[in-house]
Parts: sequence; C-alpha cells; structure tokens
Amino acid sequence: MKVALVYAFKESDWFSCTVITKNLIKAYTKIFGEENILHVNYTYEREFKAEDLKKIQDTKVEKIIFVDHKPTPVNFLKALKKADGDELSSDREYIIHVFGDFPLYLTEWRSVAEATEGKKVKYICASEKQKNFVSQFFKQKDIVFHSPFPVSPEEFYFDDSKRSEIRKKLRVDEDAKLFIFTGRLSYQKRIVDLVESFYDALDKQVVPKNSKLLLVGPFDSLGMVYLGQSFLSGEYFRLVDRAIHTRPEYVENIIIHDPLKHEELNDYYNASDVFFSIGTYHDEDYGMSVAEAFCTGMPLVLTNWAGYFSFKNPEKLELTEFIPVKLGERLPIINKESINPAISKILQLSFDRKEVSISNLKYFSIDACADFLKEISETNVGNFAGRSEIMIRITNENVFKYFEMFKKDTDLAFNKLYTEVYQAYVE
Amino acid sequence: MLNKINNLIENFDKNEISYKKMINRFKDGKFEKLFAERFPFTERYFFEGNPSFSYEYKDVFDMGRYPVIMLRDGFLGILDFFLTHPKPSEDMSTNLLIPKQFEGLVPTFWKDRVALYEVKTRKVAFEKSKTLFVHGVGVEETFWKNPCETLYAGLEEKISQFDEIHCFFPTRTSTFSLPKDRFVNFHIDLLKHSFKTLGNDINVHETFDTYNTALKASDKFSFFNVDKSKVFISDNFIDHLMLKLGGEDLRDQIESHEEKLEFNLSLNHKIEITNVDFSKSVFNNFYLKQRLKGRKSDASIYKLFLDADVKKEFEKQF
Repeated sequence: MKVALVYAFKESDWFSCTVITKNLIKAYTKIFGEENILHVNYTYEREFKAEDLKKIQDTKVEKIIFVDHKPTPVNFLKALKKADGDELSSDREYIIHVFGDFPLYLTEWRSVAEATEGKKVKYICASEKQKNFVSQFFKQKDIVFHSPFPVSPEEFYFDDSKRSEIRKKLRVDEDAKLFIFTGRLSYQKRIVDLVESFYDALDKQVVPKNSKLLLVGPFDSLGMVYLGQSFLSGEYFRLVDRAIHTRPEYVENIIIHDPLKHEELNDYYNASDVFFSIGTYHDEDYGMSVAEAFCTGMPLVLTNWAGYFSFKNPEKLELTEFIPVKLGERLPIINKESINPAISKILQLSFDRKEVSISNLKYFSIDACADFLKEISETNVGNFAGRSEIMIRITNENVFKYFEMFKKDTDLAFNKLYTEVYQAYVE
Repeated sequence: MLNKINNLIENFDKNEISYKKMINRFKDGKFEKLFAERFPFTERYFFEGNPSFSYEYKDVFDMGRYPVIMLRDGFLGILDFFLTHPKPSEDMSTNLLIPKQFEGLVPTFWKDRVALYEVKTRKVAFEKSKTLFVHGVGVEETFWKNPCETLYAGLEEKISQFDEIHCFFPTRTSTFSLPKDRFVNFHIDLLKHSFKTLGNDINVHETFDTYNTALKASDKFSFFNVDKSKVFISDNFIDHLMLKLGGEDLRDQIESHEEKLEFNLSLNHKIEITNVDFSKSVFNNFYLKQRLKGRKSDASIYKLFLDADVKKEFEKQF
C-alpha cells in the first residue's frame, strides 16, 4: 500500500512540533515501510509542488496522512481536489493529525470539512480528552481517534549516569527532592501558581527544606489569547520574579534555567525526581515535555486538564497524581488543596525507575504508537458527514472575532461556547 | 527617594502602567510617526517603573496620572521636559526615573521626585564569543557628538576577535535634521565606515527578522550599539533584547557601589536605580541660555536639536 506523508520539510519554530512530526514519520515508516512512503513537502508558507500531487495520483496513494501542526491541510486538499477533477478521489483515505491549535483555525477546518465531505476521513488526536474535544466539532464521533505523539526511546530513557553532575551544576543536594517543569514559561502554564504551590509545600513541610523547583524554558508574552490578553515583553518574567521574591527565605529553592538543548533534556529529567505542572493552557492537547519526562521513569504531579490526563501508565497508575481543575470565568480553576496531598503521595512511593521507564515506553514510544496508528489505519469508518452544529456556531464567531471567539462581548470573560466545548478538557 | 520608588514599584497597579492601557496617545503626530519609524528600537516592554517616552504623553495632565514614569528618552527628551518643567508642576505628582547618563540635567527643584536608572547585565562572567551583533540607525543625531569615524574608536582590538559580525542598520529618515539634510547619506556613511572598520565580510541586515534569525542561532555573542550619544533614545529595546539573551556589551559596564535598588528584567539583565547627585547638575547651563533667548510656546525636542547653543553645551557636558 502506498501512503503519502505530508509535512513541512523545514523545521518549525515550535520545536516540540518538529520533534512530534519527526517521530510520527518514524512510526509510519515502521507501519508501511520506507519504500511505500511518498514524502510530500507542504511548507509553512502553504507551498507544495504540483508534481507531488501528480505523484500521489500516479502512484495510486491510498492514504494521505498529514503529520504537521501547520498549516492546516486546506490549501493542499483544495489543490488535490482540483487535480482529481473537482472532487477528491474516494479511493483514498485522508488522515489528519490534529494538534492543540485546532480551534484557532476553524475557518480553515471548515474548508477542510467541505473538501472532504463524503470521503473517508480520520482525525487523530494525541490524547483522550483532545479526542473528546475535537469529536464535538463533527457529526460523527467515530472518525476521531487518539494516539499519543510518540517519544523516541533513543532520546528519553532511564539513565542516571549524569545525575550527580547535573545536580552539582544546579547546586542541588544529592538527597534533595528536585521537582522539574520544562516548557514555555507562560501565563497559561500557571508558573506563578506553581511557585506559590511549591512554597506552600515547603511551608507545610510536605517537601523537605532542601527541595528545589527547577523551571526550564523561555518566557513568552502569550497571555490568554481567547480573551485578547497578551503580555508586554518581559511582563510575565516580572510576574514570576515577583512571586519568587515574595518569600525571600525560599528564593534559593527555585531555579530558573535557560532553555536546554533537546539532547540535554534526558540528563536533566534523570537528575530530577518529579515532573510538576499545574498548567491549564487552552490548547494543551498533549504535553510533549511531560511525555518525554514520563519515559525516563519520572513520576508526575499534573492537573487533569486536557492532554495531561493521558499521562498515566495503566500498569502503574500510582505514578501520576492528578490535580482536579474546573472551568473558570477567565482562567480554569485549580483545586489547590489537592496539590500537597498529591505531592506527598508521590514522594512516598518506592519504585524501580528503570523498570518504570521501560514500562512507560511501552505506551509512549515510537514503536508503541506505531501499533496504535496501525490499528487506527486499519479501522473502517463511514464517509465523512460534515461539521456539527457547534462547530458551525463557533466558526461563525471566529469569522467575526478571530481568536476572541470564546470571549463575551460584554465582559472580559469566557462565553457559553467556551464552556460548552472546553468542558471536555475537565471531565 | 529610593524607598519611595521601591514602594511604588512593589505596589504597582496594572492601571498605572501606560503601555498596558493599549491606548496610543502622543504629544504630537510627528512623534507618533517617529516612534513608529524607529521601531524596533522603540518597541515597548514591561517594567513596573512604567518605561515610556515623554512624548508618549499628551501633556502634563496625562503624565500626572502615573505615580512613576521611567523616561526612555535620550538627551533631547530629558532636556525638553526639564526646560518645560524646571520645577515640578502642581498638576503632576509623578516621580521620574531618568537615564543615569543624563543625571546632570535634573534641576535641583526636582529633588525628592527623581531617581536614576541604568539597564545592566546580571551575568558576572562571559564565555569568549566569536559572534558580534552591532545595531544602530544612520541618522544625524547618532553622529551629533561623535562623528562616524569615531564610532568604533577604542574597540578595534576587541572587534578583531570576532569571526562573524552581523549589523542591523535599518534605513530611516533623519527626522530631527533640517529638511535639506533629512536625506543626507548618514546611513551610507555608517555603512561605509562599518565595512572599513569591521571588515568586508560583515552581514548587514536591513530588516529585524533576518537579524533576529542570526541572533537566535547564536548561543554566545557580544553586541554593540553604535549610538553613544543617546540623543533621541537612551533606553533602546534592542539593547534589552541583547542583554536578555545573555550577550556581552562591548562597552565596559561600570560596577556602581552606591546605594541602589535592583529589579530583574530577565534571567540575564536588570535595572539599577540610584539617587541623583545634584552636585553634578549642569541644568542651569542649558536653562539660562534658553531663558535668555526666551523659550517659546512651540519649544520642542525638534527645535532643541536645531539649536546650536544646545548642541555646543551637550558636546561640552556629555
């Protein structure tokens, strides 16, 4: 069987998405074999070669699989539709990997839906809750699947050989508990809340005095996009810095580290004891950094928000503690009373980290995900019946209000549409 | 004074930060245009001290809405403000932070209302870098005191260590110049002299995008702002960006041992706030000359720039 993998050959600015695309390609190569794959360059500028469309037709590709986060498939599919004679061929299946920014491009997804109506279409999300979220936008629920974004076991695995060296560099005691967060240091990642929660854990001696919280990543100016709120350059840093300095006695317990190179992360994860994140990002469909940390055998304390909720090992459920979240007027509300008990439970666990790493990789590695994707690929679905009513309503808002489609016109707060669809992220 | 500033910054309210208000109000249309033209050097950033240009406020009533304002202006804006307000206006209880370089422009009547700021690196040591980033605008005020030929004076040895040099020299109108001089080739002179001093292999970037791409690809670098005089802008956003990314300023930073406040702006840079030493004031040298001439109602930074006496005194004092 011939398949076409469609993606931008040039790496994305969004580094985690570059990694995801690369690993998805490896997974599909495992399923179909390199000799059966046609790689098609669909650039971020929405350009592609006409000869690639012809190759798809001439080699009778049976599945076209979109594995990149942007752009949406709309321009490509429209061109292919024209090349096919004003209607996409029914001899192919169209498989689209959906990323977290799905709601931001609804007008394009509308066009994708229009172009693929009546054809075999599958949408693949990276987590169970993202699948539930995206399912709301289509008439049929059975065309939406979930398969984790794969982690490379050659990049993330248990290896504590550099644990002491990293800890020495960070000035963390050998016996100290080191909590780590990696990712963008951004408003919706709730870094200020994270620092405050950590301080609370120190106050209440839930964690020993020499425990540290390591924050690794770049600060950004993204506020709450849906409410039209953005930050000035440096603003979120100031907020976090102020939060850190509210307790001068604990300043040394927080380490902010410049972003690490991808190849350095494994060592830092292995030097750490717990991945700690109470983020509630509006498009947290997954959490690649969490997946990578998990594959090193590290236990997790996370909100149960969106994609985070998929980070559990069915054989070792105790290694993930979830903090409940509910939707709020302007920001999801974290059940902060649950944080200390969750941290306490995690710290009391005794386990073989290497064994856990191996076990977690059984669910998140490239090979594991290849199995999930193969199963999805072989599943029969009915012809695509189009968009749901809620998607039509939200798209109409998107046309007029662009990213602020979920904002009330009367208040700086989320509207009913937000509550209706984002409930899927907290259930 | 420092205690007062510290309290204002610690207890700030978002409503008291002009850049958060999303309302673009300028003293005049010419400055609005100038502000936009000099982007990204004028790009806005956040600090509780309310960094902004004096001409980003309509008038003293507008400024008076803010408990503290950190003036990003260079020599012209600072002088213009104090010539207009040699004593604090009764309609304005605002406290000001002004660039340390222009400490001498603060009138003594402003005692207890003004402190000084400097933006500095937080890094104590730098690894040797092979890449240099140079930025600036080829306009008349860049060479007001320092002719083009002196731009890189004293840095020749330091510059020789770099294998790769990137220059961000966007073409901009010399707004402050007389109309006949507005399109004089200050920009060409800057380029010519830069090629001569830095070498023929320098990468010259007209747009910030390509310069930024080169910057992102460098993990160790040094930087240099060709604007030594700071006639228009003291607090330049590109300087912030370079410091934030951990770059080493080729110009030596002097460690101050006086009483100061420090506020972190990023992992790699900070603002230091110190008291004014009024014994260094040279304000009267400018003020008396302007009084003798009779300061007109249409006095402005544009007129000050064209005033030969002001230029002469600036060259003497700064």
